[in-house]
Amino acid sequence: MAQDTHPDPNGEAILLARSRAGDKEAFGMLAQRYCSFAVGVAYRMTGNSQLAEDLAQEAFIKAWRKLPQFRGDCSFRVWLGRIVTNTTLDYLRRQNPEQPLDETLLPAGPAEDAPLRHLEREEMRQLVRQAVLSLPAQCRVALILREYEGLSYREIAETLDIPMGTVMSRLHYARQLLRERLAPLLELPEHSAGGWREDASDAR
Amino acid sequence: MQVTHDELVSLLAAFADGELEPRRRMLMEEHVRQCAECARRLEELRRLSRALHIWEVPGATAERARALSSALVQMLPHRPAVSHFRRPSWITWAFPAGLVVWGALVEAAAVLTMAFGLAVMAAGLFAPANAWLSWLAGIFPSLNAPGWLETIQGLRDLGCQVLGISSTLPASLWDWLMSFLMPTIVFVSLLAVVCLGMWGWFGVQMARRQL
Repeated sequence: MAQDTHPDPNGEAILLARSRAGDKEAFGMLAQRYCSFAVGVAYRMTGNSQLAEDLAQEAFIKAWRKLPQFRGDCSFRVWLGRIVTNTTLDYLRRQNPEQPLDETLLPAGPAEDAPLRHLEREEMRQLVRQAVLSLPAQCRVALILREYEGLSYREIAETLDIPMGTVMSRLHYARQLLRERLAPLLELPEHSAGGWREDASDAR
Repeated sequence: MQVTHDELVSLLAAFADGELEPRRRMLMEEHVRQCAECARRLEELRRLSRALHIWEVPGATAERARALSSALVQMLPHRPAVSHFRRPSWITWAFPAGLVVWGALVEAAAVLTMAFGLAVMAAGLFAPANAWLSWLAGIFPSLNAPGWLETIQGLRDLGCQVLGISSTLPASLWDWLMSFLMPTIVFVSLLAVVCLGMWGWFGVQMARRQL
């Protein structure tokens, strides 16, 4: 079983039990706890915050409907993550039916022409956004769960229903692509260009 | 245990992600202290991880999460409470399994009945002095030629012996059997075979969906 990293697992168990009994308010509190997780995954998969909120809402409603089937075989976060990622991947599939999810959706960012010394914070954000969104969807979702949501390899494997080895190879491939596309950012001294190191730690 | 440089390189990402078990983590810490190439790669992974966090979710505040969850509660459809009683797993399986076994038995009975009806009809065709044979002889006049009658009688006797019925039944009874009872039995059993087949097919499809 995946480890539960939530600081208040007991409170969560009570909210879950009440939600299973049909208490909408309890499920609302549960949704509030996992809102940033669901919206975060959907946003980094689509790059659109309004759309991400809509997808997260859709995923929460699906979770509410499926809650009687949740047997506690994995943590609630993993179970919810499975619904959120499936909802988002289904959306991407509908938007680009001809585009397999293991191919890139966007062209790679303008990594090689970016002027190294003059990257402002907004430009850097766009560079990272474009680089992440250009990853193949299956690699991107693994990277997002690891880097932005802090899931362990085992939790990612359970969420995406893939073997651990596949998680590691997808992460490896995603990072390899990102290293190439974000080369200007990675070569930049961290104390220059507006001190993005501090900003990055704030954003976490 | 001797671990090569290449093996440790393949574990760098897992090391950076905190996914290595203590023994390997210590090996890696030791190796990174001594190997400039691995130290550089590790730093690159860490830089990449930090760089990715420049891209944050816009408007991700606690107030926004509260507003979204309040809106969600209004949108949730009604769902009946879940009973805490859990059916034992054998009940889940016993009911559909019982249905399948029962369906298979009835299906087999229907197939046998149909075969029996067809066999009686075939035997009846060869019974002498009944309307069916006259009708057939009208279509195929060569059946009246010498030698055929003995063959037909032989086949009839064999068929009747196998089926356990008397070949000396009155002609009117044979006619009744051939023109009404057996066709009805064959038709009803054919209907049963088709319906049970469809029932079984739908059952299998539903079971697959449930799994």
